[in-house]
Amino acid sequence: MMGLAADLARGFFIGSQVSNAAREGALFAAHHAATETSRTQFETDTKTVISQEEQSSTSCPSGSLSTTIAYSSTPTIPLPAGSSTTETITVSCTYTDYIGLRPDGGSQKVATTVNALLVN
Amino acid sequence: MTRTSKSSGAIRRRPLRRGRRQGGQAVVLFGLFSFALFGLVGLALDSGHAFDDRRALQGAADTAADAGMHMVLLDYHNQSTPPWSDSQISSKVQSLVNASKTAASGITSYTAYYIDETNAVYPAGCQIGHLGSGGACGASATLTLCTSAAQSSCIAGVQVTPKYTHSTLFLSVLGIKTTTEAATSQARYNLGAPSTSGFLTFVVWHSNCDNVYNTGYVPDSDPAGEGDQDPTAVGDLVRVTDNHFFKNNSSGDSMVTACGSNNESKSSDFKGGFNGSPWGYLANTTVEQCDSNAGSIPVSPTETTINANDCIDAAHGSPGNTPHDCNVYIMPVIDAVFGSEPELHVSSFMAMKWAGCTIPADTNDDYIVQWICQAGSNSSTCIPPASIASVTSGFYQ
Repeated sequence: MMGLAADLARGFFIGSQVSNAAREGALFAAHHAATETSRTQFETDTKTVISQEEQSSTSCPSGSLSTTIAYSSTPTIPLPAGSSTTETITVSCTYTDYIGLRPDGGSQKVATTVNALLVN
Repeated sequence: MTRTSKSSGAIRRRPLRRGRRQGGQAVVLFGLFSFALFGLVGLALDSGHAFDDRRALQGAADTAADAGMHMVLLDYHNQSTPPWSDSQISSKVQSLVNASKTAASGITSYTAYYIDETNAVYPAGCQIGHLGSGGACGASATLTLCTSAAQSSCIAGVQVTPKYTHSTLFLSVLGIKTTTEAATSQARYNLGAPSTSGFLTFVVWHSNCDNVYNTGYVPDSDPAGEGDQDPTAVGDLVRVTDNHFFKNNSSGDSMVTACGSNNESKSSDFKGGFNGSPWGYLANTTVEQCDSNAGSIPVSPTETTINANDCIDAAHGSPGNTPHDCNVYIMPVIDAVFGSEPELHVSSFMAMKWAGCTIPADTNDDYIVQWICQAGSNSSTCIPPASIASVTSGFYQ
């Protein structure tokens, strides 16, 4: 029971940290779409922000964090004045339970999807 | 435990049949406690569900409010031609709230209002997207943006409140069929509170002194509405790239670290600027002075005011001499407002001219003509260099 509780608590913690990292990434994206030099750089920087935010929490094992970025319409970066698009950021973390007593197996995955409006 | 009874005057004891009597008691207790336990488990599950939804709603509210504020801020930065209308802002906020449905399990309704710099809804009772539609929104209300700190009855941001009503899983047994969660988020720009201690006023001067404002700082917008994006009018915003002044030359932007190799080649160099702290003006460490000596200066940064030997006209100055042409050089006086959204903007203009020349008529109210005293100048018609900082203080809006 203790082991199960520990794994559940850790899963909840990782989920919370992943959500926080995703929101940080969305906030960064929303405020930098007009000033980044290219879409590639923009996405790289967004992922860096997410990665750094997550790493600082030391919850998701190294190399287990995944970030995908999608758009309602692929934008030009820097975003032209008067234009907008919705960016969808999905951050996921795959990890293994310490105890592994959960009925759904020892390998777990938590994911958070957030949206950001890129506007200029 | 025994039980006694009286019968025919004799006391008779008989053993208690414990099992059957207490077994019935347990059934009753189990029924009562299980009902309570079921209620508690149901409360825990439904409450957990509600809290989870509440957190997701808060994320949706934060995202939508931030996006709405961002559009309002863009309008503030481009007041002459605001890029986003009330209906467009409403549409974007709504689409963003709807896009958050997945995360928030479902959003059944939402409200969105504009807020002023005091966080109060403005216009009161009027949802965004309805400005000018009459009633609480007024018949002719428009996006009236806040333009000063702590201003009320204007628009500086957005408040969004999504709601989600869903059926309960267990609490319905107790008669609680549905629960409604709501989350509110406000986002607004903050113009900060100007104060004399927080103000930073400085003059950006160019080595070529040609009144061309395309090197050193990045024009940001045109709130003064004179139709360009150069800081050529009081109120225009400017910003500093990466907290430094940059020069813009044929090889690209680079930070100015020194004046040119000689006075005549400094046409793209700056002599004033920041270093390090975004808004910190570090006395004696950041302002480079191009002295009158040929060569790669710099006279070790020593000045926080404009001195007599500053080469405000390098093209005409010659080594060992002060500039001495009679052109008037207009330079923007920049001040910084300290707040959560620090801004640099043009607070006035200063015209400089060698004091040996005739004072020109002030034909433009935007320009304030002052003199810099040079050696031999008539002090009644010029101001000493050391006084310039205090003189510019008088230019505050």
